[in-house]
Amino acid sequence: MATESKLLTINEEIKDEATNGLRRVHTTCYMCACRCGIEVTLEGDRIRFLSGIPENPVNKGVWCAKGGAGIMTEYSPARLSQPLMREPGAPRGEGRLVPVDWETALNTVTEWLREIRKTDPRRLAYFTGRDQMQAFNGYWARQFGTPNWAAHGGFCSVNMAAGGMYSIGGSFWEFGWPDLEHARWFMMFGVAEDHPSNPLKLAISGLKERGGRFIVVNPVKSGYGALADEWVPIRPGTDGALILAFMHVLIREGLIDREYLRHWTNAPALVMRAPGTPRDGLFWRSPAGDMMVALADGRLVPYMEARGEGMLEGEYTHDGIRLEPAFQLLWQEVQQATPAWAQEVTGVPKRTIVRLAMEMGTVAQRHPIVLPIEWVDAYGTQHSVTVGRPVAFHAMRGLAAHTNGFQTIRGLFDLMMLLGTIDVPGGFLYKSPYPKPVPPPVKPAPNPDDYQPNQPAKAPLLGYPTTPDDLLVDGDEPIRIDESYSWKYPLAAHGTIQNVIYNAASQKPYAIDTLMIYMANIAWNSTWNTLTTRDLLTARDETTGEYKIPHVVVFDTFDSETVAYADVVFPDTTYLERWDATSLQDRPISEPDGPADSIRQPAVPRYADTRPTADVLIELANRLQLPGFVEHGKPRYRTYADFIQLWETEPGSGVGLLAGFRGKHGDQMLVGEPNPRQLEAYAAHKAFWQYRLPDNIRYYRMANQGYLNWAHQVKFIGQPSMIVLHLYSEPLQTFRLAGQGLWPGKKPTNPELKERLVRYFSPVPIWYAPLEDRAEERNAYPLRIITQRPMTHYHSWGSHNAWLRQLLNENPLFMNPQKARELGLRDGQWVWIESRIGRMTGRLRLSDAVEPDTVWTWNAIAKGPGSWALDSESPEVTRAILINHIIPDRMAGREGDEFFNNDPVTGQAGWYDTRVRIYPSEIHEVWPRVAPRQPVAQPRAVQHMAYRAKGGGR
Amino acid sequence: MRPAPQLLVLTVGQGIAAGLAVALAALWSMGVLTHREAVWLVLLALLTAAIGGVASFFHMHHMAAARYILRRLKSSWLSREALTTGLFGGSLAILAAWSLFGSTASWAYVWWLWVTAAAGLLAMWVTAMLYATIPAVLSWHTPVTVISLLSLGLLSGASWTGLVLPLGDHVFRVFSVALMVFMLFVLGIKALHWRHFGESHGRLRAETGTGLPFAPYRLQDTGTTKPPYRMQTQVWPAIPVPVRNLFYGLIVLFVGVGPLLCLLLARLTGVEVLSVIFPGLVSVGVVLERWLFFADATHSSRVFFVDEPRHPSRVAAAAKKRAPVSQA
Amino acid sequence: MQLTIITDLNKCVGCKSCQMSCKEHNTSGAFGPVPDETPYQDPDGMWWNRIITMESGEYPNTSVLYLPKACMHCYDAPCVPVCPTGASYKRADNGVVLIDYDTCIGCQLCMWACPYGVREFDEEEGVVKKCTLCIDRLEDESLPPQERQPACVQSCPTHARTFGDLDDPNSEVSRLVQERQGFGLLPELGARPSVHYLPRRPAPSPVEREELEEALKERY
Ligand SMILES: Nc1nc2c(c(=O)[nH]1)N[C@H]1C(S)=C(S)[C@@H](COP(=O)(O)OP(=O)(O)OC[C@H]3O[C@@H](n4cnc5c(=O)[nH]c(N)nc54)[C@H](O)[C@@H]3O)O[C@H]1N2
Ligand SMILES: Nc1nc2c(c(=O)[nH]1)N[C@H]1C(S)=C(S)[C@@H](COP(=O)(O)OP(=O)(O)OC[C@H]3O[C@@H](n4cnc5c(=O)[nH]c(N)nc54)[C@H](O)[C@@H]3O)O[C@H]1N2
Ligand code: SF4
Ligand code: SF4
Ligand code: SF4
Ligand code: SF4
Ligand code: SF4
Ligand SMILES: [Mo]
Repeated sequence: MATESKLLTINEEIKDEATNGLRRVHTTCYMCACRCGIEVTLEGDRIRFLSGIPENPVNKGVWCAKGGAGIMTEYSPARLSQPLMREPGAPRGEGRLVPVDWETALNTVTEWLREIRKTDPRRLAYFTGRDQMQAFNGYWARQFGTPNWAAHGGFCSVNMAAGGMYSIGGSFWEFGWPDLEHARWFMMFGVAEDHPSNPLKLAISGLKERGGRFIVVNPVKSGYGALADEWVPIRPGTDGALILAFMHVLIREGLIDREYLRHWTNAPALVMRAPGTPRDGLFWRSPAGDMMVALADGRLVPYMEARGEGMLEGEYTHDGIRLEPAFQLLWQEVQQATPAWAQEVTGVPKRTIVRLAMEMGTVAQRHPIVLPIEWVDAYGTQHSVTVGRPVAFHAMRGLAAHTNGFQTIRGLFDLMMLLGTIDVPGGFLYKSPYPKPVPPPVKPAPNPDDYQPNQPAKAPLLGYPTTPDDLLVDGDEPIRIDESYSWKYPLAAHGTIQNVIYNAASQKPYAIDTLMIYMANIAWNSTWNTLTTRDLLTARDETTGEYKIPHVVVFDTFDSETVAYADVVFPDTTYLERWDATSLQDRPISEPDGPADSIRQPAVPRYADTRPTADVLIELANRLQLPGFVEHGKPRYRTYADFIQLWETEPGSGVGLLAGFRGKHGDQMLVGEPNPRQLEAYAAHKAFWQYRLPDNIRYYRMANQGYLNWAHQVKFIGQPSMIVLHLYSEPLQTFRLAGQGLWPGKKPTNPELKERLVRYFSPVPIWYAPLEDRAEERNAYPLRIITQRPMTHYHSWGSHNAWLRQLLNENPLFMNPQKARELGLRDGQWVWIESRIGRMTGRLRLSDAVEPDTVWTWNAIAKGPGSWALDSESPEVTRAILINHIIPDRMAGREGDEFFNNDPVTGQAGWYDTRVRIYPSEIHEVWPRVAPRQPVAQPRAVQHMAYRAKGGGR
Repeated sequence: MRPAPQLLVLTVGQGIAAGLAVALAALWSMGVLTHREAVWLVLLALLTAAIGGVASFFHMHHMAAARYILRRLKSSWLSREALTTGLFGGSLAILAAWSLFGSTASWAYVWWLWVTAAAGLLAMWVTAMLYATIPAVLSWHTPVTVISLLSLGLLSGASWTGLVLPLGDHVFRVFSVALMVFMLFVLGIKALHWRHFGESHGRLRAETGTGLPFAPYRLQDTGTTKPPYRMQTQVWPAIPVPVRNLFYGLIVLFVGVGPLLCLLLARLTGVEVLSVIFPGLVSVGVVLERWLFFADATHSSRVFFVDEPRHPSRVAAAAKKRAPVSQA
Repeated sequence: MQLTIITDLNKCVGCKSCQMSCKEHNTSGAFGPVPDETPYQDPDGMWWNRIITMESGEYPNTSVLYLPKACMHCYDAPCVPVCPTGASYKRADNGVVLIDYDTCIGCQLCMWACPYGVREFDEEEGVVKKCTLCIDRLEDESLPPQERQPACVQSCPTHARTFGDLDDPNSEVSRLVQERQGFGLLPELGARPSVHYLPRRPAPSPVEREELEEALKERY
């Protein structure tokens, strides 16, 4: 920072394990969000090569193409070298930026922020993209006092996270994981090729080695799908129907795990059936608040007292209230979902649906795994063995990125509960610190006056509302700029970054002053209706001529498209040049067998005048005297390295960012005093820490008393009590009641808002057509367009990498040959791709590996001219297509423009709902093409490049 | 196959030189050449051989290693080519000196003429064998390649005698009949050769020959991320059918129809310039033939981008923008 | 001894990790650099290992396949006898086919002779380059033992690649080739590649046909 002095001395010197003049430094990769452990081998200051750390729990020694190509990212010509400010008088968006010194840039932004904080902290909107320090960023924003912070989850996969958290207190990806070490049957829904990259590849490889069966449900077959023993091509947005039909068959065939449901889920809990009353659909509870269940003899007792003997069927009455077990309500929904119906919706033949359901049911119920592991459950029952169901699932954005994704994912978790495969060997396994109570007990502060000038916010900024009373609304009006936790998107657990620019530019619900963007390329590939969104970033007030978003601050390492839209740019370092932590407070690298986390450490010298963003934010916090950062006027942290080691969730909590090597002597884990030499300890342990849970507390963790006690002790959970899985979601029902006007607390008045709550907040999983599927759109735009991530690129940050870009630099539009014949289209032909908001060109590539009603391409390959230090005739500019141009940002058929193209439950962006029609184009090149911007990082006209670690300069 | 200009010049030049040497030896032995004509022919042969030799020299990218080139005479036709081309060049040089400064009247001169002609034929044969013995280049892997290269060399060399011997000349009249017959032979050989090229092209389909059990398959790599690449000179985007047909036509025109007409016309009219046009036509024809020989050859690795004519790879061609900077 | 790499096509997801690790490890290695041309314009470059994506079969019975293709370290390597200088050679002790840049004249005849198109030409240095089976890593005593294997084998995230001695009947690679019907590419060209591929091996459905028919007939 301005003063480079540190409160703590960290040994920044790189360890010298000299072999052959080579040095090796261990750190964590950040060429994608997978966080593999890597070893950087250096020759002098230059990178000789990169490889995986064999002991690392994430990648176990392997590394991917992106990881290996990190060398070319480090030496990329697209790197920013110094702070920049928009040229005085130059319009925003043209890239006319001039270098300034750090002091100027910091002072300018400090002044803006100071003013905001003093008057109305909501006028700072801070949104972060592929960010791995959300715990820090969230804390920073909270201390600033704005409600308007979130990471990228809204445009990413909040449906997946929320769907899981509201069902089992965990989810796929960083929160849980299929146990392919034991599974014999594995079904994967809507995962492209690389999520998560190395761990899933290792796991699938193991499954194949053992001869396990692998089924892929996806409109496209590629990557992982290529290895599938069976490919189930499905129409996008219809998986919910397929899952309901699976449940239908399983229940009818008696292939469900009734004991599992009765013991560990709320399936037997009695639901009050009292339509038109505020109690309707809620659990009937004891005065102590316990859910009640019915026993075989007709007695109604609290859930825990029933000890897993609760009835799943039947009708009961108490005090004149009709009661039914939750399971029965699920059955009533699922009963309609016959395989024949699902065939119509999904395009998957009935016979395949029935067979697959029978496959999963048979393997799960008839071929259980029995491990010789004793454990004690929350009822106090001692189990002599651990029984597992070797049927595992994995899913990602193929389910999540639809406007019906939340309910679909709820369906998937209910399916897994029916099969009895949650946290059992061979099924889904939680990763520490999960499971959490369903949903996790964290909520943002819900009232307007919780966000006061010069005050920190009253609670963490993101969390999980359990009733309408937790929403951030003022009447019908949202409190947050992105409308998260409003009636429109009530369970927006990750915020809704995709709404920010539109709302800020239209100054609804209010105007903001400064938009800070960290690690998100929101002016290009993570935005939708891209051209319009870019215009919004430069929209001006007609009367004053001032920008509607007065200040835009961007933290980036490279000269991305978004940099051109900044007023101030803070140049970040690369991941190989800074300290960092993957934290249990955030998204750790834990594996199912126990908690783990890791660090990054500088392996190569910092480039030019760059600084780690976290260090800059800490400097800003210090200048702004943010509480928590400054104590008695004195900064507590100079750098992020300080913060990583010293910060605690609460003063004295003993819980900080890193769980390993805590305590004065570094001999404690999870809970312990901050250790000022913690990073050193990590560095000495190949940059990670891991704790393996003893076998007897590794499974059934939601109900494993040994585990619950331990988890309570290490502060993963507040109470050591059983976490009952939500087959039936009571929180959802409370929102439905609010929609019906029956909820006693907060409720909306606008009829449309009410209707949405009623329609979409079903407490049992439902399927409805994606919101883009009104008859108008279905007829005019018969095809669905989707994207996949390529294995070799991480969003937009691969194309400036000299090696990665050779692996993929243009993206055709893949179409099924049968469909092409039907439409009279040829391979290689240029076509118009038209959605309801506009059209663009693309080049067709026929492929039998895509379902006929779907077309697809890679995302984020295309680049804007002038960005990324690429020649403006580069294939990425002239031949690659960006379908974000035609992805609608607003909901279909909404003249009044009230809603975004988001899931009505969580606010998840409905990327994969877009419908198009395709016809021959008279233009034989990429269109639209945006105007070239002025590059900050100049394209280097390198003719011949022969990288050698030895002797080369930068 | 990407046609390398050096190889084009080498094989064409070597062919002309060797053809000239053979024609020279034959005509001299028949006693129909003047000393002056012989000297000119020798010098022409030396010149074309030298041009070919220099070109082959530039085909080497690592001159310093040239000293090892004869190491693998036992197995490498290229090693042998270096040797035999060298021998031919040497004997030509001696012949030239002899013709200019020595006594050409002796039997020893005739004998040396034939040694040189033999060296030329040997050099041509070795060069042809180099191409014909590579199984991976399916189009070349046939004895027809040897006959084709030899006969085209002889034809072009023999035609170059026209530069020295006026077409109206009585001697040449006799010679021209033989030439006309040979020309028809060459066309026949080329037809056979092209048929083999076509078959090789057709043989390389995804359905056949990769050894993969999943055929027929289709390649799905995209534009610039699919082969061939700039660094793979053994492969080149397939020539479009119309272009190939055009070349066929032009070659038949230049190597066959055109020269034949020239010869006939010359017999009828005795116009002098025709004797210059005639070798010119043949030479252009041979250059075209040689370009197609390289450019249209099917390499077995093309099987890994069989559908490539539909979407030619751009990277196979040289980069459009040649920028000056180099970075390591 | 014939060192080689076996790739299991039943596991290869086409991630190109092996392609990248090859370049990244070898570019500063004994046989590097592995150069690029116009890397920030219309990019192209040298790769000793390239992954090819293929499709076969008709929808919905489509098969998608990834084929990593590097030097096959052929038993009867046709690239060796054609080389006039002896720069291309096959090591007698372990069967690895290598190029000695000091004696290579850059004539590229070996590129024609190689049936697989795995040799690439470095215009700048005037020599032909290709996969060395990471011989410099295999024989570098200063490397930790687990790194004394080809980079592409070490990095492969699905462990689809196995390295070993094909002439040793007890080696893992020999066992795989035998038990799993390993095959080589373009066998008709007679190069006898030592690199082998293992075919797909689908796992069948556990549900009996009759059981399914019955359920369908009676209930659905
Ligand atoms: N290499 C690489 N890895 C990455 C990323 C990257 O950019 N590059 N990005 C990271 C990020 S931010 C994320 S969010 C994850 C996302 O990881 P994924 O969820 O795997 O990523 P997507 O590319 O969105 O893949 C969606 C998949 O769902 C399929 N699909 C689309 N609609 C449907 C549907 O209705 N039903 C079904 N069954 N399938 C459908 C698509 O064909 C595609 O295969 O990947 C992460 N990992
Ligand atoms: N059509 C379509 N669009 C999509 C998706 C899709 O599936 N289809 N997926 C969506 C999803 S799931 C996501 S998560 C988003 C992702 O979209 P973004 O979050 O916008 O991700 P990136 O494109 O990777 O942009 C990240 C920015 O971070 C910068 N960066 C890279 N490394 C660093 C660093 O170390 N420090 C700093 N300060 N900056 C760095 C890059 O230069 C780049 O400008 O895209 C969304 N967009
Ligand atoms: S998967 Fe991601 S984190 Fe792991 S090596 Fe690859 S790029 Fe790096
Ligand atoms: S690294 Fe492995 S999985 Fe990836 S392409 Fe290579 S062989 Fe296939
Ligand atoms: S290019 Fe080099 S290695 Fe290849 S044949 Fe010629 S001399 Fe031998
Ligand atoms: S694959 Fe090609 S380069 Fe490798 S040994 Fe065989 S012929 Fe030679
Ligand atoms: S063995 Fe080494 S040189 Fe050969 S492809 Fe693999 S990494 Fe590249
Ligand atoms: Mo994402």
